[in-house]
Order: sequence, then structure tokens, then C-alpha cells
Amino acid sequence: MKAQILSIGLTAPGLVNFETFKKMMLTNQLPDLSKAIEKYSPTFLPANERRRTTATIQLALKTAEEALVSFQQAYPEIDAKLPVLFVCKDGDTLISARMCQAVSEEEPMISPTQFHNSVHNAPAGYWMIGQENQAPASAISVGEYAIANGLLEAVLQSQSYGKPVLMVIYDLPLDELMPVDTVQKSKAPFAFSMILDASKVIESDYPLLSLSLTQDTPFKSLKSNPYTGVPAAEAYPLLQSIALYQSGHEKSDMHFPLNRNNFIKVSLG
Amino acid sequence: MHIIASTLVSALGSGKKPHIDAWTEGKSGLSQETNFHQQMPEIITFLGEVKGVESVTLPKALEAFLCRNNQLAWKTLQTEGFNNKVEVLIEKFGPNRIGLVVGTSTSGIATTEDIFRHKLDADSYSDSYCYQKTQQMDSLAQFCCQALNIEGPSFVISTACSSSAKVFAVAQRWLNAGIVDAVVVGGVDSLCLTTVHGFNALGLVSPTVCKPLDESRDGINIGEAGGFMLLSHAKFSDETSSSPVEIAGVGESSDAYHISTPHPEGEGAQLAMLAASEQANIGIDELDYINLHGTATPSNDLSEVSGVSHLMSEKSSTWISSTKGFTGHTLGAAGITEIIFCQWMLEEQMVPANLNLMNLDSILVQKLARSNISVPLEALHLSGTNRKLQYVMSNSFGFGGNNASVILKRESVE
Repeated sequence: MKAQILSIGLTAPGLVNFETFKKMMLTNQLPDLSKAIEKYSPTFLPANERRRTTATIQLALKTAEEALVSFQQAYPEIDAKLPVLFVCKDGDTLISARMCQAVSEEEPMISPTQFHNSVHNAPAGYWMIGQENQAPASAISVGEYAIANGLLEAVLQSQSYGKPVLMVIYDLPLDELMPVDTVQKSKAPFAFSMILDASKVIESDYPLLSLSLTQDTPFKSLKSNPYTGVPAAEAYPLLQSIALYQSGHEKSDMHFPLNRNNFIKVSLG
Repeated sequence: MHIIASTLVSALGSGKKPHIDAWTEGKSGLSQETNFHQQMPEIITFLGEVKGVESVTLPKALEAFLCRNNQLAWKTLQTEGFNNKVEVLIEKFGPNRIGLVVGTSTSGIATTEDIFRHKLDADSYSDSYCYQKTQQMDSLAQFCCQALNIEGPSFVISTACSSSAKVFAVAQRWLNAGIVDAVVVGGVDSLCLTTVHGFNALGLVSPTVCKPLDESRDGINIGEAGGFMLLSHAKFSDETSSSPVEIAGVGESSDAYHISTPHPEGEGAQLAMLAASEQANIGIDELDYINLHGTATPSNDLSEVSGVSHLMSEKSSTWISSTKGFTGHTLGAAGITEIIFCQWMLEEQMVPANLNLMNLDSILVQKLARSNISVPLEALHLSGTNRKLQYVMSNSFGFGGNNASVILKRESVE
């Protein structure tokens, strides 16, 4: 299974967008995780909807918008109303914790806005409204298997719809209000997006992505990933390879877990 | 895609027989006195509760997954010998060659509600509460994969009330790509306080029994259900007897209109229905029956019937109905519940009544007047008549303006 990467978006503390990340990688700089994600407002949404968006929704929308804007610049002739796939492990845990707290009160009261924002597909819903886009939109959750299942689903969607697909994989640490006592591995959110086209051959600044299923146990990567902790951040080495691809010094295959005992091998070409 | 096996548990009972019996008798599974009502004394409504879910025990190896949603999933997998039929295909093809994609809207959030309600401190819940295996949105997929020994591609779709209809599009893609030989699709949503209070805050919960399409309809009754189907491109007459029904088309779309209110003319819904009929290679007029999303809110039923009527021509003689009066709105499980209903309707050549309908809303009557669509007030038994069910469609629409329609076909109708 092959798909052309047409554009990329990236948001994390210390990373403004994919272009700055690429420059950092080419000049051997490490991201500064103490720099918080810049304030963002989804200006493509009507004011009423815009002010209802939460930090979780904004992270997904910002990252989606970056990929779409660069796609529109590079391919003005292609219809930009693309099918979308949002991948996230937990959704908005501040909202779910607040709702669980609210229903435990003497007089339970949930705010209607909070309730409709609590659905896992809230970012997808806002995105389609803001883009006036009636294409199919999906929202999935697959924990630690996010990268493999997300890429596979996006590539197969592009094949079956016969057009490019916008995929956003985004994760935030669980909110402090959640009654979870395990120590979280990361305090950093991480989100990236890709517009992938498996439907035709198309010129691109980015490499071709090849996916294949394998049961071979991957060798452990020696490279460090400063964002390890949320599933989306597991794409860091892949994004690094893409950033360094044109300069020619990154060609190794990567394995991402698909399920217990199964992996997707990702090669760039 | 052929249906190799299916299983369903709803407020009407476990498996096919109690459902067909309830349709025949016109008996609802909704009640205003369920166990769950004790947890929400301030809300007056009917609920579609599955009895005994809380006492379902999980096997030792899966105990960490214990929550109402996974208990209902386990009960459903044990029904109709579904787990055994999956096992037969796993032995035949291997665990890598079976995929699993399931829908839910709230996963195991009831467990987290319990922790807040009982104001347990960290020390007392840390031993038994496992967020990752209960509330985390992919818990249902993890649980079902381990319960069924599936190791192929797998995830949870959570697009509110269209979740377990969209799973059919994923199964198609995996089977068409040849990366699996069979797929378990399904969905489970279980009663929890956040959905009841959340829908109540939006003014969408009916204080009485829900009355889809009725002029006095005033909201939904929340229900719970679990359902699964085993799908493949091949038939396996030797080990498992397949249904004569197949999945003929899946269509998906977005409203791009409002986050929790449907487009008044059902614009997005029309796109999903058209996409499904295009894939099934039939005209919308050729549908013998449409199982409406039909939630019984004033806006959903108006939007959906408008959408359907826009697509129908004068000669359409389709039946349409909502089965929410039997089960309540099972949210993330509504898709799979009603798609299995459609399978059974095709198998039994039967259309259940649109339960609790006294007076069809006059605005809906006007919408439907342009074609020959009718809403059954009593169960229709078609065996021995000259009307047959060959193509039927199920609609599922969710918050975020997320729509999916699935068309089922019976190969030959005697």
C-alpha cells in the first residue's frame, strides 16, 4: 500500500509547525519543550462556534489547518474539501472529568455546550462546519496503536474515496482532574497531520509512504524521542525521517505496532 | 460483504428470538422503572435497560476491563454462539487475518462517574480502577480483541450516534485491500449518567415513552445495546451457516451545519443515503424499507423525513419506520442494533411497527405525500403476500453532523 504525502502539519511544545521542525532537524537543533504551544484561534469558524472550542479541539484544528493551508498553496487545482480522519486516544479529558464531577453533585447539571463538545468527533464536527465540507469525517481511538492504524485507515480511505485524505493524530496528557493515580509519562501534547493521496501519482515535495503488514519484531530505535508519552508522539522518528529525507541521510524502515504481535512497516521512497 | 454471524443484546432481550417476538407482539423494551432510574431520581423518563448487565462476570484474564460497557460486550459475544463462530475463522485463517472495528460513544465512563460519586480517594480506588481499560475510548476494541483472540487491524470509531454504522465502511476497506479474511464489526453503548444528564440539558430527553414521527413527539429515551457481526467476502457453508443477507452499500457524509442540530432539510443525510445507494448500485426508489434514525426529537425526525422525501419519486412505495420505540436510542450502538434489525427483517420478511405512533405529524405527512411512502402502524408479515423485502437501508446520524447509511440485500426472496 502506497500513498504520496502531499502536506504535513505539526504542533507540540517547542514546535511551531512542520517547516520550523524541518529547519531544526537539518541544523541539528533539539526542540525546547519548555516553550508552550502558541495561542491559536480557529478563525475559519463562525464566532459562535469559535468561542466554544476547547484546548483539545483547538490542538486538532490548528494542526489540521496547517496541512490544509500548505496543500491549498501547493495544489490550488485540487478540491480542498477532503474526507478527514481524526485519531485521538482520550478525547477531551477535562470535559469528561467535569461531566463525571457534575453528575456526582446533589443537583446534577451539565452544560449543553460541554456535552456536545464531549463527543470524540467534536473536532471533526467543528472542522467540517468551518470548512463547509460535507465529505465523510471519522474520529477513532486506538491507544498505543495509533500511528499504524491511523496511517493504514487514511491510506485505505484515500484509495476507496479516490481522493486525498486529511489525517490528524493528536493527543494530550490526561487532565489533572481525572482520578488517575498513575504517573503519566509525558506532560506534553503532540499533534501532527498529513494529507495523503493513494489515488493517483502526483508531484510532491515529500516522499512516498509505503505500508506493509509484518509480524517481525522491530529492532529498538536508538534515537531519542523528547516527546515520548502520548501515542501521537510515537510518530516523531517518522517525521524526523521525512524532514531529513531530501538531504538524503535517512532511509531506514520503521515499524509501528498495529495490534498485539503485529506491526506496520513504513518505508519512505 | 456476506454476514457470517451476528449477535445482539438490547432491552428486548438476548439474541434474535426475543426481538422477533417483541416485534410480533408490538412490545417495547422501554420502562420508567429500571434499576438505572435509582441513580437519577431527579429525571423522569423511560430507559431501555438490559437487565443483569452489572452481574456479568468477566474471565480472570480480562478482569481489569470490568465496567458496564465491557460487561455488556461480553454478554453479547456469548450470545447466539457468536464467539464460537469467530473462533472457527481464527483457526482457519489465523488471528492476524481477522480485523475488529467497533463503535461506542461513551466507552466505560460510568466507572469514572462512580469514582466521583462515591468521592473515593486515590488509595481506595487505585487497586480496582483502571482508566486505560475502562473509560479510555479504545477500551472496547482492546477488550474484544483479547476476548476473541483477534490480532489484525483494530480500532474504535467514536462519532457519537453514527459510530457503529461507520464500522461497515472500514470493514469494506480492509477486505477490499486483502489485508484480512474476515472482520468483526459492532458497537456497544451502555447507560451512564453523563449521557442522560447531557441530553437532558439539551432538552432532548422525553419525560414519557418516545414517540418517533408522532405529532406529540418530545425527545428520546436512552437505551443500551451491544451488537456484533462477522463479515467476509467469502461464504463458509462448511463450518458456519451464513445469512442469505449481505451488506450491499455504505455511505458516509457530514452536515457541515451545526454541532448538535441536524440540517432542517436533511442535506447531509441525503448525501449519505445517495452514497450508499450508489455503492449498492440501486436507485433510492428501489429500497423496500428504510429503518430511520428516527430518534423522536422534533428536529431529527423532521430533518430525516425531509431528506428521505427529497430523494423519493412519486412512484416510491417504500416503508419507513423507526424502531427506537422498542429499544430507545442506543447512541453509539444504534447503528449496529438497527443494521442487525434490518438483517432479521430480510430473513423473516417482516417489518415491525413504528411503535408508539398515534398521529403521524402533519408536517411529515405533507413531506411524504409526494411519494407513496408509508409508515407501518402494525407489524407486517410479508410471507405469502406479493410484497417482498429485498433491499433495506438503515440510517444513523450523530452529533457533529456525522451521517452513515448502510444498505442490506437479500439475494433471492422466495
